[in-house]
Amino acid sequence: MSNQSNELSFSSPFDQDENENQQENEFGSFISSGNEFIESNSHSPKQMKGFGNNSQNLSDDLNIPDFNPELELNENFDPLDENAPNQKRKKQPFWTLSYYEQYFDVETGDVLKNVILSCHPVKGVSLEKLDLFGPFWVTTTLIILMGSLGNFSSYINSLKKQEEEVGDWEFDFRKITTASILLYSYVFVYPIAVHFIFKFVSKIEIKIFALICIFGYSLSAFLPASILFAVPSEKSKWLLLIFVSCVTMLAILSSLNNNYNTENSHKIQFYVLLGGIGVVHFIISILIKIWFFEGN
Amino acid sequence: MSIPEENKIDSQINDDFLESSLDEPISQTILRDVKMIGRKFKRVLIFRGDKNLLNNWDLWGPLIVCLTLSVILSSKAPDKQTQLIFAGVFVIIWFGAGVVTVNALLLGGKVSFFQSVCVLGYSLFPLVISAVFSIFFRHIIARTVFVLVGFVWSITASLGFVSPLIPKNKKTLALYPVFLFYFTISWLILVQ
Repeated sequence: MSNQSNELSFSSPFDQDENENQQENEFGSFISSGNEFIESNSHSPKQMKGFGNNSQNLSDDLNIPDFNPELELNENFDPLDENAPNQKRKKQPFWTLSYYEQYFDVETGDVLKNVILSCHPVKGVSLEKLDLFGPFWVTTTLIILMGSLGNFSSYINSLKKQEEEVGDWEFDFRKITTASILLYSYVFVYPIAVHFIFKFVSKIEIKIFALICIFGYSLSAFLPASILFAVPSEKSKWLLLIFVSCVTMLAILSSLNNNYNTENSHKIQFYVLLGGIGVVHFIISILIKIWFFEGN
Repeated sequence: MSIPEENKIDSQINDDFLESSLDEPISQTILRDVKMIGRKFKRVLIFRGDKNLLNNWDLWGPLIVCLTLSVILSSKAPDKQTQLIFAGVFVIIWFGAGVVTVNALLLGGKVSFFQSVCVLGYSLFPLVISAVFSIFFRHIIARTVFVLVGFVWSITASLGFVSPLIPKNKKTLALYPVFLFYFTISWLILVQ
């Protein structure tokens, strides 16, 4: 051990003989604190010969990276590089745009998987990676589809009447505006209310963005349903509506149940609230049928 | 102390430029901008020529497109809904372009906000042409063909700009809203 310093090319200010006197030189305070640190870990001060010398042992024992003053500290670290592995994302306040980037960190496969899971009555939507992309664009697509197919179904109805009313069919732009108000508030405003209700009634903390995910993806089952609503029979429309509504309601309730039904929650209140959510969902589906896809 | 040579020449050049820009007739100034807008419209229709023409963005083109579409669509609307449709088309075009751009930005694309809105607005020009055609031809099949052609043309024009700027694994996610945006406007033109 004591002969190792002879093999060094790096000239250490700490020669073996002068180890005890090094406390007084310009590196003194740093070295003394280092020495204390070493002592507290039961290394004798004599082992601390110089940085290049014993740093191998020290770093092995104490997990300190090698200090080589000839290199810049961490020369590969680039604070502007977003892909660097040791780059921590700074937390942004929620009114900036970059705060929402964390919710758009999805790929096509994830979104499609969640869309399909939203129709699964037992599993429900996976809440591991919360994302805003899916709910927002599913809602927007549904608004556009309901606007266009709702008008299309009223056109088919006017055709069926076979009187002079065929020429009187008007394109109703109000379907788009009503649809957007109804659906955007169901997916983005209603979760805020649900979050606070759950918090105050049954003391369970459900993240608002998780609720947005659940309600947003649950609307995706209405997309093929809108296309099927073109069939002019009133009975088939109601049957289709009840089927889709029940499937999505079960999926919503399952995902809430799977993720938030903990052991110490108040069970009765929880289930009552789940029932309330199911009822609201059913009402929304009935409104969709009545306002946009009237039968004859 | 004499002024160094370079400074003298610079100030001379600046004076000349300022003089020429202030002294020219207003029609020349306006025409220069109008020609620039016209060139951008032509670039959207015919995909040849300067690729970087749309890089210095301006919002005049989208405004012209938006106003034309709103006027055409609201003039053909049922009487009670004229104002609603005018306002609705306006909102759909501007907010739609904004939302599509914000979506691309949030997915990690490197695109400047106004430049993207500018390109999306200019690329609506083929749909404006099909809207003008469908005023004159009321037959349903002819209008469907026109609107379809306009739709495909617009999408091709804007995709060439948007798609290189998105990271690879999220391309579908970023391009789907563009498709939805143009689909909405095409459908609005079709049902009038």
